[in-house]
Amino acid sequence: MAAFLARQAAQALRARQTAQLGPAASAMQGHLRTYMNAGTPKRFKEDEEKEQLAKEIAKDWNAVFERSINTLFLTEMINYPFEKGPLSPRFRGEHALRRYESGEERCIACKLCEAICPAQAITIEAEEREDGSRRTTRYDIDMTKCIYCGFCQEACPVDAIVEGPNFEFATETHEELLYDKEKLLENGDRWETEIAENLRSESLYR
Amino acid sequence: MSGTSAASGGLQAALSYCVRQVRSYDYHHYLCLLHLPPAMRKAAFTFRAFNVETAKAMDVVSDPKTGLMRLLWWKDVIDKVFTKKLVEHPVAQALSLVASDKKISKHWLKRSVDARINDANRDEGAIPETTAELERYAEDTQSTILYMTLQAGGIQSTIADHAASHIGKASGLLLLLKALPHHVNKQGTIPYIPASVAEECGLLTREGGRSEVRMDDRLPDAVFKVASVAEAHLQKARELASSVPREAVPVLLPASPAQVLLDSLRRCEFNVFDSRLSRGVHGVSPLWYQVKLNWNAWRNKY
Repeated sequence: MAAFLARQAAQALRARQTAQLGPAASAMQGHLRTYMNAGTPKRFKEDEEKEQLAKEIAKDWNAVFERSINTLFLTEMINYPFEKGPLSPRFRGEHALRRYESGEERCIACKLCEAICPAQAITIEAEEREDGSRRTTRYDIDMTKCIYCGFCQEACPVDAIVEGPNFEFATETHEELLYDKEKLLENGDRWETEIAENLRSESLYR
Repeated sequence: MSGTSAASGGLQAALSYCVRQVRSYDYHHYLCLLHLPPAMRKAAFTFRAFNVETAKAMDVVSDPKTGLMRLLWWKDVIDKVFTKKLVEHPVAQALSLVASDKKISKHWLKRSVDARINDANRDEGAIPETTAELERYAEDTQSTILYMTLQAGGIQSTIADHAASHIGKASGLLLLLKALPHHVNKQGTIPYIPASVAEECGLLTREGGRSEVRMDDRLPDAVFKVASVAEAHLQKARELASSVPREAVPVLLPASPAQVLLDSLRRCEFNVFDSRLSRGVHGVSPLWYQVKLNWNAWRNKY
């Protein structure tokens, strides 16, 4: 199978090379021919087209080369794991459950996020505490189902579930991406400063 | 015992949350509220925080339906607060504290949320027909806050209510004008210029039952017309100033930010897209704004 693919690729490459050389060579011939017998207009037109094509390809290859040189040597590159590029405050990354400053969880188990989630990635179970407040007993997000649309954040009336700025949460197993409440709250504690900064808005509009 | 102390700590936290929200979203009104007597501050900050929560509902979402969901949730919260059910949101907790302390009519809160729900329910791109419609929206959302604050302060005066109505309308209209660039950015159309005003300025396009406000260099004329309505309201409120009871004057201080915004608009020749408008507080430096506000508060005027 691999050998077959390799052969195919080689053939394609060869075909492209002849296509590159071909028009250029024939363009030269075309020039000669136009000087020699300008009387055949059809032939002349065809040759001109070929010439045009040859020029275009040459220009394209030049452009491609130039652009790759530019990206390689002239653009600003960042040394990724140590340096990071700018992120929009609206960036939707890893989820987090926030707390109030008193340390109390914000989530009141209204299940609006569960209802609005188009990927059905959120699962909530709730029960009432002794003091009458409703809290979740289970808040799971399947991060492999999530499509990062941010609807859960928009639907949440208490700004509890948010998509934070973290995008580096790759794991080795699928199970690690099935987030539970503890993991989400821990994310919230870790990213609270950034999240609060990103959510801050300046004024009212209506 | 520990339960009650935890509860009072919770209420303290809830109130400080309200103050923080007002401070970060509604800075010019935050400064106004600082001139209130301490007895009324708690209630006033709670109402303003409630206003912040309902006002931003439509602006934090990408789909109007989601915003509507949030507003309906707040409508439920009002019902729960007045039936003494616990709602785990600092603003709701502060509301229930204020509602148990002082007598507040539920219908003002209801009216403000209903106005916002109606506004959210409008078809996409639909605009209000007349200035009166816009004024009603401004009254329902802004004047109600002043009514409730007056009520919480135990001030029962028709004249104060009358002045509050005019001031609320003026600040509501001016807020919508100031937010015009934001709405244009978000929706691509101009939502809060009434059709009648747009028609007078030759900005209205009617396309099979739908009407839209065009954007061109005559827009400042339309803005000017709406701003004039707001100014007329401010004038009427000032005419009542001599007969307004003394203790009601600090509640009516939001007339000053409205006047400041009006002056800034005039300076920019009613071009709402002027970048000078978004600088400082309503286009003037925060210090100058504070000076003006304190001057008004000291003279006991608004």
